[in-house]
Parts: sequence; C-alpha cells; structure tokens
Amino acid sequence: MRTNYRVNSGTRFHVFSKDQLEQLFWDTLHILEYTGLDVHHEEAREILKKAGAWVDGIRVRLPSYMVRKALSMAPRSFTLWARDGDPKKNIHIGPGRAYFGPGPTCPNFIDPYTLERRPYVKGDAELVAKVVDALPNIDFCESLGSISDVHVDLSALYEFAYMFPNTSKPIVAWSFRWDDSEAIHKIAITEAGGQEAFERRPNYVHYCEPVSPLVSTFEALDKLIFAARHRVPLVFTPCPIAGATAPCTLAGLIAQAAAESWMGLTLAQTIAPGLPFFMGGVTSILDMQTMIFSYGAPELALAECGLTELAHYAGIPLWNTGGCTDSKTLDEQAAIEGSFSVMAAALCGGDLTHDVGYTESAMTGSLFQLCMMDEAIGWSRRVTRGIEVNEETLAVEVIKSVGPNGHYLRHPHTRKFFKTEFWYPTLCDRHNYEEWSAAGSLPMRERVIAKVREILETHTPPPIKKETRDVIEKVLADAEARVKSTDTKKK
Amino acid sequence: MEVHKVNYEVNATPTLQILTEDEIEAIYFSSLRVLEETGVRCYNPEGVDILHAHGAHVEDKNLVKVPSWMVERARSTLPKKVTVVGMPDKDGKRKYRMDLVKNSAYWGTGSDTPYTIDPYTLKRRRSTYQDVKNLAIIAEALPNIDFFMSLGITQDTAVGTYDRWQYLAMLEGTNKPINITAVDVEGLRDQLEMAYIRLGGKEEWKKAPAFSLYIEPVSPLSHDPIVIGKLLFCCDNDIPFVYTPCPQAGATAPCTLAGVLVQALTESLFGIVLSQLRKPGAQVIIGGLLSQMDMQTTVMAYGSPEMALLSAAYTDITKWLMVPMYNTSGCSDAKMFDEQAAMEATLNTFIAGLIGGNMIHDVGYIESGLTSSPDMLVACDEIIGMVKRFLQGIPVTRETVPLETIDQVGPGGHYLGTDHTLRHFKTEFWKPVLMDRLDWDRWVKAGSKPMRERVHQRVLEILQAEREPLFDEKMYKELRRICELADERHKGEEMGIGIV
Amino acid sequence: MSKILEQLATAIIEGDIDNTPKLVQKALDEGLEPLSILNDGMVMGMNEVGRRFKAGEMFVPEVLMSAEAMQAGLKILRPLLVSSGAKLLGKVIMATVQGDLHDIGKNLVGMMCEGAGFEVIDLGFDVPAERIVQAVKEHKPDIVGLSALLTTTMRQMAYTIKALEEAGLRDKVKVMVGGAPVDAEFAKKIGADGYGSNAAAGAELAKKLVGAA
Repeated sequence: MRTNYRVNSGTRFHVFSKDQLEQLFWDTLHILEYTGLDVHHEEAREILKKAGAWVDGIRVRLPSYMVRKALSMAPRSFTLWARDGDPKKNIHIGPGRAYFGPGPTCPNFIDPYTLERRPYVKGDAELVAKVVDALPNIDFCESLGSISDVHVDLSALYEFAYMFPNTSKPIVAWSFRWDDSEAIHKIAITEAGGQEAFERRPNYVHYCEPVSPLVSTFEALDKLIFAARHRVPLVFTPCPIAGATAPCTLAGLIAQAAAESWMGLTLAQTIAPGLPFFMGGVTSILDMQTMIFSYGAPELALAECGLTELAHYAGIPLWNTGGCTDSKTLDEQAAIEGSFSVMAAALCGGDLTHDVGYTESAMTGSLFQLCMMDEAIGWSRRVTRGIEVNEETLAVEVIKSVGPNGHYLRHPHTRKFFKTEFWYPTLCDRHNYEEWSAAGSLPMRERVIAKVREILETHTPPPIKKETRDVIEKVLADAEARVKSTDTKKK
Repeated sequence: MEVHKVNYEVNATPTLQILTEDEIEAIYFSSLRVLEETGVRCYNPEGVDILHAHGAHVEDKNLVKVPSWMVERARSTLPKKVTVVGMPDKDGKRKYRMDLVKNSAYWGTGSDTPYTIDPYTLKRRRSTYQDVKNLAIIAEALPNIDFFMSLGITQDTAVGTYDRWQYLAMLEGTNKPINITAVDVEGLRDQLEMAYIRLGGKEEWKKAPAFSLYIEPVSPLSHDPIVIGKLLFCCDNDIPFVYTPCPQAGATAPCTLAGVLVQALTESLFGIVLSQLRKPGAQVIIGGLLSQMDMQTTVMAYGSPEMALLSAAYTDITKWLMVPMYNTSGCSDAKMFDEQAAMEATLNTFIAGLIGGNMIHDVGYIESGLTSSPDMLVACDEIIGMVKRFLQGIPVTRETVPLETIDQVGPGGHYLGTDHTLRHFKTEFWKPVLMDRLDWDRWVKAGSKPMRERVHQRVLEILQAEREPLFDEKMYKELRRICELADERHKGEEMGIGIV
Repeated sequence: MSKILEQLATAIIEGDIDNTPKLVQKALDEGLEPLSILNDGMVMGMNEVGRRFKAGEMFVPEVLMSAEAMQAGLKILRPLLVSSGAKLLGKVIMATVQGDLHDIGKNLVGMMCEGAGFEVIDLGFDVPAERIVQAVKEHKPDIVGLSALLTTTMRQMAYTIKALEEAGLRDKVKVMVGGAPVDAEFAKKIGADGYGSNAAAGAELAKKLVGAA
C-alpha cells in the first residue's frame, strides 16, 4: 500500500512564481487606483461612483478594495451549456482546463471551394458553425468573419442567426449595440426555454472589447451592461499592442491588459454579482519592421500564458488567444505559429482560447487553419494529459513476463491500453513512404482541404426548436425594418 | 529610495514538469526491480565478466541480474555534467561548446538516415558523402544548431567502413561538436585517431572531447556484443557516449508510458553500471528515442505527442538522477517538409525546450527517421529560435512593469516614441527570419510565397555561398588516409554490394 | 454460406482465440469439408480483418489477435488438410540476420503471415547464414523471410542468399527481405524475390510468392 504519494494530473507549467504574480496583481490594482481609465459611458460612471469609484470627468479610478470585491464575486468555475444539452459539448470552465474555438470579425474569408481570399459573406457563418460542430477539439463557436453582404449594422446579428442552428456548441457572440444584443439574446433564450432557464443554463457568451491603452468605450460598456442585466456570461477583452498601445515589455503589457479587463469586471459584478466573467486580451506585439499586430509571434503565446496565470491568481477565467498566424496562406508558417500558441494555451490551461483559424494577422478567417489546428489541439491535449504512474502502468510484472528480447504486441496489457494511451492522428500521416506515395504523395494541406469539404458535405448539426427558427426569422425581419427606417430618417 | 526585495522567488524562465518526485522515485525503483529480478541479456562476454566479478548474478551465460546497490554505487561516480567542445577554427580556437548539465538545452541533428531529400531536385534518394557534407555545412551556418550528427549514411562509400568516411564528411562541413556512430570498435578507434589529427594531438582531446559516440541497447532489455565493446572502448579512452534505447510502446516496450520509462531507464542504467565499473567517472548520457509503434501503420512514430511527452518525462527523471539527458525533437512522420512536418516539429521542439534537457537530437528528420531533409533542418532552426524566445520568460521588475510610463502615456495615448519602448523593443521582440509578417498587398507583390519556398531558398543560399575549407589540404589527406587504410583492410568483405 | 462458417469468420475477426477452435470442431462435426471451413470461413474472416486494418478501423493488437485465432483453428484443420491432399499456403522461415538484434519487424511479419494461414518457423535474431541454410534443409519451407535494421547488416542478406545458392537450395525457396533501410531496388540487387515495405505488405508478398494472391 503506497501512501504520501503525490502525482501530477497532467503536465505542470508555470511562467511566473507566486511572488511575481502577487507583484503583478498589485501593480494592476495600482494602475486602476492611481492612473485609472477613461470611461466613455455616463451610466457606467454613475454605477461605479455609487459603488465607491473616484470619478473626475470621464476618468475613473478604482480603489483596490472595489476590484478585489468584484474578483471575489466572480466565479472561477461554471458551465457553458450546449444548446441541445449534449454533455460532450458542454464546457466546464474551471482550474486546469483549456477549451478552444475560432475568433470573430475578420473582413476576409478563404473560400473553401475556390481557395480564393474574398470578403466574408452570409453563408460563411453557417459553414464555420458546421465545421466547429464537427471538429472534436473545437469546443465553442465564433464566426471567423464580419458579414459584408448585409446592412453593416446587422452583420453581428446575421452571424449569430446563421451560426446558432448549425452548431450546438456554445457560441461566443459579439454585437454592435443594445439592439442587436437584444435580438441575439431573444434567439438564445427561446432555445433555452425562457430567460430563467437560460440563466440556469447559459448557451452563449457575450463578447465586448475595450480599447488600449486604458479606455472603456461607450459601445463596450453598453454591451457589458446589457449582458450583465440579462445575466449573459461575459468576455471583456482588450487587444493591447506591445510597443504601440501598451508597454513593449511583456510584464507591463500584461498588467495593462488586466487593468483594462478589471474595469469591466468591476462594473459587471456591481450590476450582476456572480456573473461569469472572462478577462481577456489578445496580448501581442507590434512588428517593428512591418508594423502589423502579430498573431504568430512567440511573444503572443508567452504573454497569454502570463496573463492566464494572473487571471487564475486573481480567481477568474481567461479569454485566451491561439491557433492563429500571420501567414497569408495554408502553409508551414501557419502550422508552426498556430501550433506554437495552441500548445502554450493547452499548457497554461486557460480557459477559452479563441482566434483558432485566424490567418493574415486576423484579416482573414480560414476553415483550413481551423481544421489543421484541431489536429494540433488534439496533439497538445495528449501531452498535457501527462503520464499516469501507478502499479499497473509501471508494468513491472509485464516487463518480467515478456523478458529480454521478447515483444509486447500480443500481451493483454497492450490490448488493454493501446487505444487510450496513444493519440491517433487524423491529418498527420504516419504511413510509410511506399503507402504514402501510393496514396498520391499528398502534403498535409491537401488532406486538410479534403477534410473541410467532407465535413461541409456530410455533417448534419443537431436541429434547433421550431419556435427558435421562427424567432430567428422574426428578429431578422424586425432588424431589417429597423435599419431601413433609421436609414430613411438619416436621408 | 528603491528598496531591494527580499523573500521573493523569481521564475527567471518558464518551468515545465511532467512527473512529481514521488512518481520519479516510483519509476526508478521499478527499474531497479527489473534490473535485479528480470535482468538483462548482455551478449558481450567481457562485459558479463566485469559485472559478474563485481557482484552481478549471471544466469544462462548472458542473463545478467544487477542488484540495486551496484546501481547506487555506480551513480556515486557518474559525472553530473558532460562537456563536448567542437573543432578548432583557423585561429586555433574551439568556439562551439556544449555543457550538458541539468536544465541546459542544446539542439542538434539526427544520425544515419538511409535517405535524404536532394536539395536541387527535391527527390528522395539514398544519401551520399556529399549529402552528409552539405547537411553539415547547413548545420554550421544555422545559429540554433549546437551539434551535428550525420543526417544520412554515406552509401557511396564502402559499407563496412562507411563510418570513417561519414566522419570525414562531417569534419569537412562543420566545426560544431559531433555525435558519431561507429560500425565497430575498430571504426571507433579510427575515428578517434582522425579526431586527434584534426585537433592537433591527443592532448587537445584530453582538454575536452570533440565528439561523443551514439550507441544503443536493443529493447527489450538486450545488449549487443559489438555495442558493449564500443562502450568499454569509450570508457578506456575518455569518449563520452550516449547509451539510449529506442523502445516502441506496445511492441518492444510496455504500452503504458510509465512502463516505457521503467524499461528504458533499466536499459540505460545497465550501461551506467558497466561503464562505472570499467572506469569510475566514465561520461555517460542517457535518454533515448522513446515512442510508440503506431498501431495503425506499424511505423515507429517520431512526430507523436507520446514521443514528446515521454522525452519530457524522462528528462524529469534524468534531472533527479543528475545525469545528462539525450532528448529528441525537430522530427516528424511526414514524408516531405509540409504543414505536418512543421506542426510536429514545432510541438515537440517546444516541449523539449520547456523541459530543458540537454542534448536534443533528430532535428531535420522526416519520414519517421528514415529520411533527412535540408528544408526541415533550416525550418527547425527558426522554430528553435521561437522556442528560445519563449524560454526567456517574462521578467517582472519595476522596469518591465513601468507604472510611471503607463501613467504618463495615460488612457488613449501611445507608446511608440516613449523612452521605455526605445529601450526595450530590440531585446524584447524576437526577429523572425523565415516567418513572413507582411500585409497582404506586400506579400502578393513579393510573389505570394508559402514558407516552404523561403525555406528552400535559404537552403540553396547556404549551399551556394562561398566558403573556405575548414582545414588545409595536408590535413585532409591525413584524415582521408585513415579512411583508405580501413577500406584496404576490409576490401574482401564488400562482395560488391555497394548500396548506391 | 452456412451459419457456422459465418460464426467462424466472426470469431476470427473478433480475435476469439477460445471460440475459434470450438467452432472449427463444430463445423467438422456438422460434416463440412476442411477446405471449405478454411476458405469459406476463416479466410473470409481474415480478409475482412485485412480490409479493416487498411481502412484504419482495426489496430495492430487486434489484427494479431485475429492471427492467433486463425492459428488456433488451423491447428485442428492442418493435419486433416494435409491428409486430404489439399494445398496449404505453406511454410515460412523467418530470421533477423547475423549481427542484428532488432527483430520486432521480423516478429510482426511472422505473425501477419500466420494470420494469412502460413506455418511460420521463427529462427530469431542474429542468425548466421549457415543456420538459415541448415533450417531450409531441415524444414523445406516455401519462403525464407530475412530482416535487417542496419545498413551494415543489410549485407548479411546478400551473404545468406549467396549461401543458399552455394548449397543448391536457392531455386527451392523464395526469399523475401524487409527492414527500415531496405527497399525494392536493394532487394533486386541482391537477388531476392521480393521486398515488403511493412508487415502487412510482407504477408501479402508471401501469399503472392506462393501463388495464392
């Protein structure tokens, strides 16, 4: 009988020590308390002021106790529910678990059939949702684009309306303002069975984005207030650019991103105590030669790991970034950069990792990148699962019975474990040269393209309720009427 | 005044751990049990005699059972650090140095693939002397490659004495430390002689060895007579050697990863015990290519997550044992340099870097170790660069969390011209060489090239660059003479069966 | 196809080592011809196993279970088939050549050949040419399978083939070779009859060499 035996459940990875995290934590509070943020939302300023914030014009400074109180109310562990209740598709946010999904709002899309880069159109949201629904290692859905062929104010609503029926995995929705937030919410609660049922089992997350450095925009906070009042779990995520809109040292980048997030957190928890809240950030660098915001830099992966640890130290989950690239095409660079940030996200275990499928530094969404990264995520998850060390897996008796020069191919121990101990690839090819040649000597990208097309042609996502379909039709019609009347008024 | 922090622990780099100390101990003591109760087959009578004379039990002529106390005693004389230093430049300085010790990571290539990808035709074919030399030249030019192994077997030379020719080809291409292979003890002796010549005498070797030898036990638990002969020769001649198995989980090792670790450690511990009996202080590096037989294709997987995970876990064990680690990364099961090769190499290089140990080989392997690829090698140099940036971690100081600058810039401002940015952007940001960060229009204007074309371009640039020979004609002739003498001695054995 | 033969095929596919001989016996008791039991039951099962393995639906340990079941059934059938004069697939001698201890590939090919219905005699590893010649004289196999992992030991394959020639046995057996550094070109060069790039290909080749595929 073994005792006092400590094991690692999975790998253990750290960027910071506890002491460094404590320092970063208090540095972040310092920024919020002494520098503060510009908050471009009058009602938000009033709510915060009433709760104890120091407000000078639009500048809002938060005494540290306010932020710590907000942190203490926000949950570390909760569930995002699949709309059809499929337990395999629920997301259990909590210590040690990393989930993955695409990102929003790329202007361009790689057409899965012509392979051309073109503007993102209505039907694309449907394709993305379908592929997300089918890929085993993609856990939540975003659209990978901004719809170009509808009225500009309605693109977010159309995205949601096209994604929702085509995947039962939880969706992360963004919107422009209160109107479309409301319409999106109506779709989601109809499927959930009403507002109360939704609050118990939320099936989507609301995404808003403040501006760096240290600005809470009206739109971001208005959407935040909407989500808080309707108890929609929130992602509040800045995109600070090291060297441009944030300090170029990664620790400074992290502290600023956290400060920006925690302004939103404090407002959200003041309105809706206990609301699930993801702090965030796409924390990367300005490439000083090309002047792009890099989505493939190792600094992105590293800073995200640091930010994840700070979030977990503070006791809330992180909206992480990975599986994205600066490459303009489906190539080796896309594989390298995407895999790198995927592995980093898996190692640090935080929490919802988005932007899987971004190419061209977030300018173009690609189902191929998404599908290729599904394989990288599977790979990474096998690593982070670690090694189980116990009497049975140590296999001393098995080794003894096989002995020197024997083999294990027929041993019952092998038959028991070969399916669970090994990960089996679907896109990485392990055939020998002869068999690979006989199958056409295909590079991986060809297999990726074929797999995406196969999913699009064969996958049938679980259906939504009849009444939800009706509501979708109605909110779209209402929205079209609304923008028509505003446009006429403007004229 | 700025007061210095006390009681403040810093992660100066990221840290990764697979196994707890308890788990490491469970594996170690399991290995001791296997070594003592199951035993290993050692087919070298001299090796068996040494072990028997010092307390091992021998059954059935060559089944050797080693009691735990012999392992414990061997560990007490085993070096915790092994240093290998490359060959002298024209100025006589040996500038490439590897200190293989806990938490230090060096990357290098893999050895003895039967095939290579021709750099000009991109066709797969049998490797030759010129290929080995070319690949060594590429390795010499790459900043993140620290040591070289022959990325191809010289198959246009005599089969039985190819090892001397292969070493000569490597010496022609690079001054970096080399991990050699040898056909037999005679081949090893010849290569040592060549190293003495290249170094300018045996005394230089004594200062620091210029190569290590790669040898391996055969899993499960079997030790080849010629290999053990080479091991003993290394002990006698101050040659560091890598004694690492290539167990395949589910085929030549237990299917469970913990069981693979137990068996692999048992196999290497046997080499440690024998070496320390032969010569206390003999320099051993352990580790291995720990992977699985892919149960769908029967291929030994080089790009699997299990390979990376096993290597990392084994590194945890070697840190605990305080013995240098022979790790694996930069390799793939892909048959060409493509997205799969890029993905697998990135993931396993990342893990190998994070775990930090020590001599990381097989950079440049594709096709599960059967083919070497110049393109893969060059691309991996970039991947290692990315990983090294990550390994620098994130310092948390008043300078790196610039509260005053943040306050001065303020909400809505920017950092582009600040002193703080100017002070840091050059060191804080890694500069890619082969990764493209242009925007769409500029990328299209530059020819819409996928990465593989940029990589291949770099390969050709390196090969076509003018270079001075690393040593003069006279030395070349001396080195070549050893190869020719060996051919002469063995000419009857070839039977005209050249492979190429 | 009768029900019992269907059950037998299923038992082979599922690698049911216990049940396969029982079903063979039952089929014999029901009066079925041994050759029909083999070809219409067991071989049908093994063909399906081959198909599933190729399609990635079955894994090596499962295929080997099926091979074991096949052999367990053949143990009963083989003497009956021999006495009835039916043509069996024949015998294969497997060896990893002298100087090479790496024999997992050879083991795998051997097991796959057993699955195909061959009788396999395994000489082990580090086997000198003379021992192989001796074994050919003694067992009179249809095929000799040689494996090597190292380029240096690859030469031993050529020595072995030469030794078979010198003993006057070369035209009595087919020689197939395999191993990581071996390829079709090398096989041709040393005068082997065929090369298998992996275990499944090796077993296929063996069938081809005896004219059964």
